[in-house]
Amino acid sequence: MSIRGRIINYLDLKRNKRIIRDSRSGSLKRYAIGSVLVLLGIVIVVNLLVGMLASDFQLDWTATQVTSISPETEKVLSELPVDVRIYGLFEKPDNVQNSIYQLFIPMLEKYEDASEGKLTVQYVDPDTSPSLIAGLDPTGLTAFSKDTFVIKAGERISVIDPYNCLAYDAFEYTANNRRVVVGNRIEMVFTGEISYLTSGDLQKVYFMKGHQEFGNSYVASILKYEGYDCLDLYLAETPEIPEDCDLIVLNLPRQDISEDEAAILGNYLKTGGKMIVACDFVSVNEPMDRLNELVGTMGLSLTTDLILEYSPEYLFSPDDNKNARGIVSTEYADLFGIYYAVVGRSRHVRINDIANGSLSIRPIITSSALATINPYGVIDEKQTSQGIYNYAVRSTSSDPGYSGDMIVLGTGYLSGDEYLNGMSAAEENIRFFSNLILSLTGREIDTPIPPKAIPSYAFTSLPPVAQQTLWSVILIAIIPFLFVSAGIIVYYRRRHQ
Amino acid sequence: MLAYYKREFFSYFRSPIGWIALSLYAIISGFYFSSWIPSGGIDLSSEAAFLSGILFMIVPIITMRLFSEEKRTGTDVLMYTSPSDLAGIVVAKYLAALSLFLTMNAVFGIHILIVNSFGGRVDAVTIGSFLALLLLGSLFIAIGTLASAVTENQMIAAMLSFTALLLSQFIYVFSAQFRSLTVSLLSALNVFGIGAERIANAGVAVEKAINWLDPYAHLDELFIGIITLPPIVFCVMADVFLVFITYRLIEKRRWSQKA
Repeated sequence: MSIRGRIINYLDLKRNKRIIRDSRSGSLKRYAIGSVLVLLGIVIVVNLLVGMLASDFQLDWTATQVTSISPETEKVLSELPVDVRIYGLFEKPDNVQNSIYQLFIPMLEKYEDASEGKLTVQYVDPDTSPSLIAGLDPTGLTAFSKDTFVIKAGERISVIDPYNCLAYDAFEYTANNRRVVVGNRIEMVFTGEISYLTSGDLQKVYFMKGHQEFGNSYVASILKYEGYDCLDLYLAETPEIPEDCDLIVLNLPRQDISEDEAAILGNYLKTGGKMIVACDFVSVNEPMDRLNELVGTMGLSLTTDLILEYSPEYLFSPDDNKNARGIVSTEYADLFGIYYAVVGRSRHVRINDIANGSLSIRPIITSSALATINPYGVIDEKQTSQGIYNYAVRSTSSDPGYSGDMIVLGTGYLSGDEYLNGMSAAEENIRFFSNLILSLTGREIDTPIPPKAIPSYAFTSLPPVAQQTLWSVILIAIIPFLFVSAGIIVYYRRRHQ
Repeated sequence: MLAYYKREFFSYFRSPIGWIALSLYAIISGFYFSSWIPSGGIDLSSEAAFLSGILFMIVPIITMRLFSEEKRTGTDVLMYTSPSDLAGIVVAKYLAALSLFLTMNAVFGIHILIVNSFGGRVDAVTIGSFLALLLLGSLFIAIGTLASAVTENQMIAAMLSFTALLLSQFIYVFSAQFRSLTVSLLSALNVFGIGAERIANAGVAVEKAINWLDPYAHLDELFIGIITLPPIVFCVMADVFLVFITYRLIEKRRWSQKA
């Protein structure tokens, strides 16, 4: 072959090789890109499918199932008569852990799921969407604040402050003004509000105001869940009781009621009114003469005697006689299925010697037979006598001319915010109080949603400072030093090999 | 593959890198843990959440040498010509890095023992948050492995993974920015007269799509003790996907080798 022919052959061979290599490289590239895209598609589809199909699979490993919803809430959500929309007035945080919303956002997702589309949750930053916020309440009567929740059902609207859904350590709050969260009642509040907003005709409960009452928010939450409308009643300003009133609650007043108020309330009871009075020894240890006169019309006395329990069976601590388990009377134990209630710092509610046979007076919660009472809380052996004393009593009049119904509680542990917040685990007390209201207003007894305690991570046996320091030195210095030393040894050995 | 895994895992302890990573992790976690002892109690899930926030510093140290070291020492040719399956080698390297990460987390076990001896609470939330930390670590290691395969320089690999992991902590910020950008763009170029609500919804959709990539958002329920399948599947699938891309990159490099 001539030299020219050889050159032509060589060039042809090179061209063909390049073509083969280019086509192989191209097909490999297409295969690589194609396989990556296929896998990406599989990843997305699997994630979507798992998101759709496995959304119900959940293990709530938290100690009190903080984000799981109760059957009561599921029932409310499954029977929603109108669409409900919950607005979180804040930018939904990306990482909810270590934020206050870590308790709210996962739980509200469960609400959405359980409602089957009737309830939706949306997070809106009011700073970036002012028009949406303005549209929430066209009347402009509701004030909206950032970092709160708004529940809207039809035209009804309700605002929830997340901090009011948490239970704080009562001692830390009162003694040190520190808010130490010990539990939450998010489900109780949200389900209560939803139930309240979607209810038809609501029974109306009026809370008396103007006597420096302790907080009512806990009780109000329970009542809203039960379908009651909670309203304030300032008898000093408007001296009449509204006609639609189903129940009046005077919850832990620190001031006595006025003569006019006593007269109005007396007339209310005469005409078949229903009332709950709670007045414990801590809120006021002075006699409340006019309130006592009113209570006296129902055959009861709210004494200034502090009940001290001495039966070890009912005490939480042998050194603390003021706080104990109260015994629920058989009638109410059978009705509510609750046999003991946590009581404390309680006045003795005395049943007067009365000749009025139309009054039916039944103790609701009593002490053991080993309890004593101390007038004004003064510990004086001579003044005390052992016996059964009443923490709570109900008096019902069957006289057609005086047909009132009244429950008198000598303890605040069933209805006071401060106590219930502090006793976040006292589910029985909350259920008991709720049932008392249901029973007084002629409703069927049911189960309110209990609050959920946050477990304590405190050490039960804190080591001495020296031991603490030793552990710190081991963890921060010795262990890392050992690792670094090993690294240095390895480095030098390799260098000298 | 097993031989490769063993070789990779033990190579961490034949160089200072593994020891440095171990000591750094021990110092940081030990410091956090010790600072809580005097307060009389510690929720170990908060420690796991804290450690998840510093992974972007630790993981690049573990992963930077995985493939770039091979190139530097010239042993990459052995890898390409090895009778072992290349995919197996990539998986072995990834698993070796993951094993080192698990070894580092042994200090968490020491903390659990200490809390237990002090009468503190070690509950299922602690375990859930630890699981979340491991899942996040596995995902970050997959990102670091990919970064190591992209470049032949260890420092560049470390910087790449550091940047990627750091940015992953701010995905929610970017998503919000993209939502605003989408809304602004659609509003400005609204030739079809789309309603404001639809534009806003489009912005939210963009934001959600970007947020879907955020591993922290997927794992936040695990950190508080709520175990669901989607975050676990998300992390595992993302690991598989990233390792597969790494394998493809390495394979491409093998076929690009000049004779």
